[in-house]
Amino acid sequence: MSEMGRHLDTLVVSATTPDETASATLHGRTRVTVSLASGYYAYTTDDRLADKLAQLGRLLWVARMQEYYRFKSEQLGRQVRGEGAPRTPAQSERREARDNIVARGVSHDGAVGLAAVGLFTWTASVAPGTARRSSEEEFCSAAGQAAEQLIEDHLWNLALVWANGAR
Amino acid sequence: MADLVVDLHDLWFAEQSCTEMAQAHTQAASTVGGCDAADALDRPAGIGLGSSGFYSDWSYLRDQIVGMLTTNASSLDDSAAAMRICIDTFTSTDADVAQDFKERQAAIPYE
Amino acid sequence: MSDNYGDVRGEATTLVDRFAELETRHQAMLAFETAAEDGSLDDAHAWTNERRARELQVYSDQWYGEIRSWFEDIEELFDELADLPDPGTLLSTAQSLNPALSIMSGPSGHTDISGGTEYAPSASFDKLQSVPTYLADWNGIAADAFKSNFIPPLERVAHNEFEAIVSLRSPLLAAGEMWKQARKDVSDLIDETNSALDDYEGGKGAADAVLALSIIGAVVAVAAVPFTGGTSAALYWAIAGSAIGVTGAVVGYPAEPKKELDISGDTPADIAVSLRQAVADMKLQWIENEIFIRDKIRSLTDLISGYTAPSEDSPPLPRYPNVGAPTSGHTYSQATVHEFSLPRPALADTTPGNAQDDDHFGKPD
Repeated sequence: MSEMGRHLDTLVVSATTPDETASATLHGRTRVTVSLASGYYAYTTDDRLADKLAQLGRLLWVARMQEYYRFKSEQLGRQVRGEGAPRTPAQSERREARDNIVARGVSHDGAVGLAAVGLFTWTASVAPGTARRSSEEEFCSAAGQAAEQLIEDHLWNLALVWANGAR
Repeated sequence: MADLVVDLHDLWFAEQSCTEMAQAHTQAASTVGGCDAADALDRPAGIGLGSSGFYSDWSYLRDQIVGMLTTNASSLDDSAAAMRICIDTFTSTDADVAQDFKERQAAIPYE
Repeated sequence: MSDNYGDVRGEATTLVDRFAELETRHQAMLAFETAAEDGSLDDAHAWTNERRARELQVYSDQWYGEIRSWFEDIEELFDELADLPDPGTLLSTAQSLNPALSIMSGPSGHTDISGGTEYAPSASFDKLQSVPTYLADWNGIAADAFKSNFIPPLERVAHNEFEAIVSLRSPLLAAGEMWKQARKDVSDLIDETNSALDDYEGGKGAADAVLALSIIGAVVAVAAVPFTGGTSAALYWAIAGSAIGVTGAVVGYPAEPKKELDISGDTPADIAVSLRQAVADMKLQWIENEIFIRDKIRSLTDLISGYTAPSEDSPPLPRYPNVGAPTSGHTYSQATVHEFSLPRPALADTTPGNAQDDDHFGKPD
């Protein structure tokens, strides 16, 4: 395994919504934990929770990407900020296919559903009544499960798309 | 006779100086000749100019430099020897000159 | 950058394992997609996690060994790169010449312009300038010739000898710097290759920046180590004596076939291709650098032999005396030879029988 491989296995990156009501942390490659500001859960709604999760998904993946390039820069001793411009039409098509991968994840109890396109655009659904029915702890755990499933789904599809895009 | 002794003493200074310079050349030749970069330049045959790099050209130059140092050393050494011969030819035939020369050497040593 | 040079072979093996692992996964994904297209497997995008793991394992068990064999040449490639000359040994070998410089610094001392080191006057030469005075009253023919033809140029010749030793040391210093940078390049190449594989593995396009060979920086260092004093070339040969008609003859830079190595590719196998190409380019640069150094050495050998190229642009080959006769472009000058090796003085052949003759020492006035 490469240095980067080991780093991705163990890294911890976090993101918080701009209003500071919700945070998420990625542990290693796929495990995600979610937490809410003290007292927030008691007064919020299902729709607002869904909105927070969608924001967190996008912010968390941006943070993870930044960490990838930060570590790469450190490894190479030069500043690498991201991908270079595509050099061939095939490369452009492959990147486009990657950015259009639709990945999904659902919590074990079905209360939280997540979907992401290319991990850039996230949507979340929280089953009606969840905020009243589930505890804050149950909700956060469900959100983490859905996120983990989504990331695994994305990584598998990414491997398929990336390999086939090189054909 | 006094002048001859002074001249012999001067000749002796020249002899000593030439001997020292010959020794310097010989010592430098020995240092240069003892420097060998064969191990330092050794590497697999597929790297650079081959398994010994530029060693053959370098050692040729080294031997050339040793050669010129040695040539100059011999010229100086043999000239010093000639000066000793000259001193001997003047001192061996005249005991007084020999004695005066010895005293002057003791009075004004080479250093 | 990490310093991988200490364990190049181990790093290369790890690299080959990664190529094999990622290429196997790559091939598996192609196979799953193809099988879905021709209907022999259902859509791989929709498999459960358990199914994904199982199918990958089955594929890997069958093909990993063969796929690894596609990359095994990389281990051989790095096996060679693991044994580059040791910069430390080159440096210490070069420095072993320093005592010769101390001895040959002449009656006035010299500055070693390659490193700025000041060498104090050498005690062995401190009466050199007085020798003609000591011999003032000895006016035989050989003695006069010794006073007027041998001793006066000796200080200049000793200085040329000093500079020749500096020039013998310079190629070793240059090579030390060159291989130090080459080792860094090998280490960087491993890092860049791992980085390209990281990008493949993470589904990312290659970054724009490419690896700048540090050996190119070393080229400047090589040129700065003066065979003729680097920027002070004119000064160097001015010191070396007006009889030597060479001005900056050996200052220049080696050819640069490739400045940057680009390690990238759309698949692990493509990345391996770019790695092989990068190693070839890097090795070519090493050859260019060593040719550059070798030609400087040859120029000096020619010079000491009395042969000089007509201008600094002239090729140093064919040459005297290693390779037959000089080209017509080279000019021979015995005076140049004598700037390094003085002709043997007649005085040196004095015998007891002729010492007092007018041909030799004569009798003092």
